[in-house]
Amino acid sequence: MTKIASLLTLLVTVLVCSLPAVPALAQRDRVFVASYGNDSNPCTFGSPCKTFQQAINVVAQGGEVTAIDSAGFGPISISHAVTITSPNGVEAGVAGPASGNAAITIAAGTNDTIDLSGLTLDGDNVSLTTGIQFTTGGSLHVQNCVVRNFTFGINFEPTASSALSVSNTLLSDNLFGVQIAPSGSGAIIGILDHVEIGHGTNGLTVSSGSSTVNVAVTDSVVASNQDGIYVDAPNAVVTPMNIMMVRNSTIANNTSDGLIAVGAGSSIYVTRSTITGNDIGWATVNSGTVTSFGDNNIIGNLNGGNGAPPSIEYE
Amino acid sequence: MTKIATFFTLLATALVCLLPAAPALAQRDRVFVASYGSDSNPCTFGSPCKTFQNAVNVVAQGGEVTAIDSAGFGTITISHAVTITSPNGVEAGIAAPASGNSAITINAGPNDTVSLNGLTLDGDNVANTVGIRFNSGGSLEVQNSVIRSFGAHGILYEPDASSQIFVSNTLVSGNVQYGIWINPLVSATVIGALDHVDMENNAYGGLLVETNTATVNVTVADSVSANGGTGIYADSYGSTAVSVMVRNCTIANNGFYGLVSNATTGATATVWVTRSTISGNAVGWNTVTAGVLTSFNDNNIIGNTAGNTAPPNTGYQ
Repeated sequence: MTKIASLLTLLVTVLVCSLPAVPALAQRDRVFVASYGNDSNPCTFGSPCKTFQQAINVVAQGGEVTAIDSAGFGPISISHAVTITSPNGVEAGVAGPASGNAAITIAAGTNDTIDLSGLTLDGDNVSLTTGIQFTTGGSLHVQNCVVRNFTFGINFEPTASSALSVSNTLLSDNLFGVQIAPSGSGAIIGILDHVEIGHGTNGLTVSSGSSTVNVAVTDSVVASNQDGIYVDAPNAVVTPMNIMMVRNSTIANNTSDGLIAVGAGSSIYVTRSTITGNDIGWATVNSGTVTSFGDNNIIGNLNGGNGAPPSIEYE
Repeated sequence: MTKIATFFTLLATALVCLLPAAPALAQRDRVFVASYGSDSNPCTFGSPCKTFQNAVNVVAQGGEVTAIDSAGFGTITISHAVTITSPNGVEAGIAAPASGNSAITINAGPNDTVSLNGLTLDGDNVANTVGIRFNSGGSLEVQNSVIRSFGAHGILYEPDASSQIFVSNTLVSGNVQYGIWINPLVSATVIGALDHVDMENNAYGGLLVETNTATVNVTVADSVSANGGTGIYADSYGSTAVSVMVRNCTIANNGFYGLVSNATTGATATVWVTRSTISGNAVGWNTVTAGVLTSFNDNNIIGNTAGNTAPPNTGYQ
């Protein structure tokens, strides 16, 4: 090579080497899946992905995954804050996982919010399956979803203080519709608003263990299960309290107990609600309490639990 | 050129220059955005635009902007009456603005109605962001929307004159400060109605109604304020009157208070509560200084760590 060629070669080499490294692909805030998608795509609206899992893997923390059209988008493991949305008019499903697994598994960070909106989860009656399994995270919000044919529809088992809200959601044909069973000793809060839990073995079950669990169920229906609402809190807790507040709801046609409070720490309050057609309307075991506001319809339960519970007054 | 040619040239030039200017393109009453749109398009259904802002800029005053398909359509500043709609089946979103900004900012005229339907606003927890910031206008209507995860507030309603806010069938969740903060700072009359509004997990609280100069009347019906800081807080810290009617609501599991009525001496704050459930809160209800809370003796106030006693009550009529 001539001297000039050598010099130029060196110069080019130096220039190329001093170029900044190609920046890592910035994560998108909004990604999409579609029936015609492909997981080698960047998950944009124009080039959507095929599975929810791939979309979650590429979306930024706290970002949004949206289904463009109706399809099954596969089981998901969620480890960070994310919103997953299937808008009205789209039926985005997650079909039955294998036995022992969950359609959606959430093990996220302490402050992470997981939002699931408009999804259809169907366990296909495969044994030992869960619709939504929550172990760690800040809060779980489930809106406008359908969860059916699982062993556990929603299994909320936080290891630390966490919040659950479920609204406008149907859980049917699950062995346990909604189970709230924290481990550890955190403060668990929950709200079920316009939720239907039906045709299962247990409708809503709370096992508080060493945690404190405060749940409000409002404008909901728990029907055609074995036990409607089952609260098990063995230890009396003074502050904060374990409260199951049942408001303006229908607890009907459950083949065992409509409401049952087990253990000294279980306090079920019931107001403006209808408890009818159950085998036993309401029951208490081991110092659990059911307290009415004197404003319920507790009648027509087949084998007991039609009497007025102890009542307190409005304020 | 010959003299005649020159003359005609001059005449033609003069005539051309006297022609009226081409009329401005009439603004459309109905415009569209889509994921495949382009902001150089006229925003018709056949040639939609790409951003809500461009659509808002071109639509006629009081016109309608509709999203055709699901995408993020960018933050918006609204300065005139308009309706923005994402119909069922479409998830039209506005993702996180930069810190210090809002997804939707409204600086409209005193008689302008701004109507937002079916939108999804997500702040992605970016610090100091607001979902909908209303600075001026006649009225704000929010329906069927989701407003979540803003670093400050979901809705910050700070009108500079008398105006109205209506929010219905809307989820306001996971905001770092307040879900909805009604905060007029001028001498005006502000009225508001929240119907089937779900305020959940807002760390400071679900709803704060606060003023030092305005008269504010807000009704909250068939709504939920739960799993947050304070459920509903009424605060009058100047010399005017704030009234909040809480009807058939669930105020549950809030880490500070369920309901608070706070008025400085010389001001008035009144919270009425009827057919509602206040449970699982750290403190069920509380009044501060001149604040008043009145029950209709038909509520469930129980299971709060404190503040379970019966408020003063009044009868039905």
